[in-house]
Amino acid sequence: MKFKKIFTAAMAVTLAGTLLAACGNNNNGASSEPSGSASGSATTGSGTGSKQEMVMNYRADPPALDVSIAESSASFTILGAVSEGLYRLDKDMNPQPALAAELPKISDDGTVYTIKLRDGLVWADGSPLTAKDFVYSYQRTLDPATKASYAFILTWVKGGQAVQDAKDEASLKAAKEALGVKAIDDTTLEITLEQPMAFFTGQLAFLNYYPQNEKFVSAQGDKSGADADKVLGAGPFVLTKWDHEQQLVLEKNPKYWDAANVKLDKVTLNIVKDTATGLNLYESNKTDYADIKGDQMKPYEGKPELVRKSELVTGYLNFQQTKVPAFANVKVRQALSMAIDREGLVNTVLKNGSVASTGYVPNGNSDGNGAEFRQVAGDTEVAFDVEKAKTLLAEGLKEAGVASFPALTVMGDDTETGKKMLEFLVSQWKTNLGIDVATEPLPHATRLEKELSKNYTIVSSLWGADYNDPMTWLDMFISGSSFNTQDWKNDQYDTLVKSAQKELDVAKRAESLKQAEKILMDEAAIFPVYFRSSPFLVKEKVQGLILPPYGPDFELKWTSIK
Amino acid sequence: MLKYVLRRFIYMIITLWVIITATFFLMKLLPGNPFGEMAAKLPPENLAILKAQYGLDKPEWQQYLKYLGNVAQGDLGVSYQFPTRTVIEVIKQSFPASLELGIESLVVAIIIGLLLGIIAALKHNKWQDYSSMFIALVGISVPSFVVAPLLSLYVGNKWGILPPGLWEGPEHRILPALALSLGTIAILARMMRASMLEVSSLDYIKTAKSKGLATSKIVTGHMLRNAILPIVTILGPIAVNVITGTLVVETVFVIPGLGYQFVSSITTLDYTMITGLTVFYAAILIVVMFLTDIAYGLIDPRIRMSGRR
Repeated sequence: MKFKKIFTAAMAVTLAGTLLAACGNNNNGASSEPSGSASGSATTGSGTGSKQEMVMNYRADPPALDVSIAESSASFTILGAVSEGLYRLDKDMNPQPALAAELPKISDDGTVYTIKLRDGLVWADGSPLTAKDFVYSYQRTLDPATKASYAFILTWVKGGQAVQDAKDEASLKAAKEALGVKAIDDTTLEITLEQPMAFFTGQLAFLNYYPQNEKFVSAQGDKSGADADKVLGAGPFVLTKWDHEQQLVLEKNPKYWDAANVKLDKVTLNIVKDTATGLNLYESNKTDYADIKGDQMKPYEGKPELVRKSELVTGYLNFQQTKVPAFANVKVRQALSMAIDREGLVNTVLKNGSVASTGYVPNGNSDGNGAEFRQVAGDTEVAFDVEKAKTLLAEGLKEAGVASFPALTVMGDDTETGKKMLEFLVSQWKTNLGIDVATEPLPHATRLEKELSKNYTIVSSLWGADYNDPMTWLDMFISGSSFNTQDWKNDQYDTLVKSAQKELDVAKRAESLKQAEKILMDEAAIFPVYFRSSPFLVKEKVQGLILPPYGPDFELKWTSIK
Repeated sequence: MLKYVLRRFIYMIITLWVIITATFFLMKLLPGNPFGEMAAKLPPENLAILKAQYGLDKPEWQQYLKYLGNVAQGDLGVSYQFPTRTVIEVIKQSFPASLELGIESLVVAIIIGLLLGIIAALKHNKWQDYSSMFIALVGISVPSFVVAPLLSLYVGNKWGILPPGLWEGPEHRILPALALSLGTIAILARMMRASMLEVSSLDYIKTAKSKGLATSKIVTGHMLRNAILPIVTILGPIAVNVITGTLVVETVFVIPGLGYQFVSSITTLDYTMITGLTVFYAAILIVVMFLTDIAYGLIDPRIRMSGRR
């Protein structure tokens, strides 16, 4: 009996499978005419009658979908679909008016932003959205009781730090009232910054600057953003289902101001953590989007469905100078950096589209003055040169007054690529310099703890941009910063970065930061290894899906199914 | 009987207490802190508030006593990874899938395993015996982390017979249940075979045979009842093993179960989740063992615990 049941079930599924396969074939046939790639034009929703529904694999369940508390890219991604800021970044990362009616009016000194909201904006539940919802949101994120780890991004607003530092109720209330964000009327918002920031309009597109509905959020208490019915946004989609660790369903928000330009009716995100199974789901047409890695990419090489997204993420090494005094010598650090073949690493080990680094600030990151940092700064990193590395090492060790190193260990994440990278580094140091270094792969949390408590000799680490400006990369190596775990100190560097923090002239600021990075690289204070890239598979029928280099994993607003 | 149950219950509580205590202090030995990257980005004052909220500002023995008190009241705390979810909520959400999968695979394993074992014993040293035991050997030597991806790749993807993953309709249950049951099938088949062979050489079976009873009657009426006893004893631990040991299968077939939560709680140092899930799993194990003992007594009147009447 049982067998019969299984058999019928199997038959039914086989039939369904063949049908799906048939549909897939039809689609492939139709796509033979020339068309743009997945990231191409967004306005091709020609209404051919194809179902505007998409299924995606997604690697993580968002911890909490609350604008103030969110800190993972999973939260950024889903909230970006469910809600919206004053602006939304298009495929070229340019801010387009979203809840705002137009680009901001910026005062001559660059510190006061006056923003007109669209008329008749509503939250997904139909209640009106006004400028006050922004004021509430910024105050809530900065309130120390909210414990928002990204609150520092809101301290750019005048008086933000004072709210963060408030010690008692009275001073908190006063600081909140003094905060540089005002609702002039229901549709006019005025934001005053501590100092001019060239990239601030783009930043207004990010989660931390989204509005929040006070009545709704305070009604949820501790559970804000915990379930589908505890999330309220004003974006292109509504979260209609959230089975934790299993599935999220987004459906089109009919009350969205730009609903006419939202093509997708439904997006189903299945939480899939194993990329091999993810690939099976993709190949059997159960999903339209999948993560992929390493050798899985081989069969897709050269096909348009394989999309590589270059991210604002740099992989780098730190040499701990207190534990290993020899690392305090610049020549020693240079030698160890110079002995690593970065091209070889990205081409033979990582193989995911990552490129060898040419500095610390990655490709695509802005310089804070309208240009791309790397274009302006050029290649600042030491080149791979084994002979020079040997000479420098000998000189450096002599200068440092030591004959050889103590036992060295390179610590890193125990992921598949993380471990391979450690092996590569160790073999390069052994072959090129004759130094023995042991590997120490650790779980992420443990690696981070040991790194931040300076309990390592060499660490392989990663940094991703929190915002699109060189400052997110460079302020972390000021002496005394908690991420300057290698105990490197350079007065000139500190002066340059600190002056940039206060600089009102954005051109001068960009110049200071460029010089600062040059010092960081000349001194080999850290050793950047690669600029990360992540590969994905996206079915060709999916049009206009944007894969931004930082913040959210993807942008769904302009996506459609052909 | 009642006295026995009561005594077992007290032992259960003591065992649980030992497990909680050991887990609690061992966990604190792990390097790192549960706030991860956030800890470095947060201003120290906010981190202090956060720590106070989770009670991490107090000495360990105070944390421990507070935790024991909470557990006694059925409160396992709030997860660190998912600050809006309590451990109880996570269990409620994730355990049903693990339980369902575990039971399904156990049923499959019992049916197939016992059948293979019986066939092998009845056709001792014939080809049926050899092929049954070959299947059992394969089941034991090929672990689920090999079988599961292969099933997903071939049956699911390449041949398209069943879904390669996800947890939706009944057809999504077949492959994971099969992958999970292989090892158990093998164990049960081998045990059943050995047990049947042993029983079949006993005097009362010889008597039954010489009485001229039909083979089917001898097998069902006399051999099975006695041969199945050792199986019942190991069924308890096997059931727990199957229900809790679903991690690989859950990950491969994208099943929203508790196995994955357990492992990720350890790598992210989610203190409350680690202890909470350990307590939960330990409780299941203890309860199942207890039920097994009682079932054992019911099947075999010779081993009633209260003994003489």
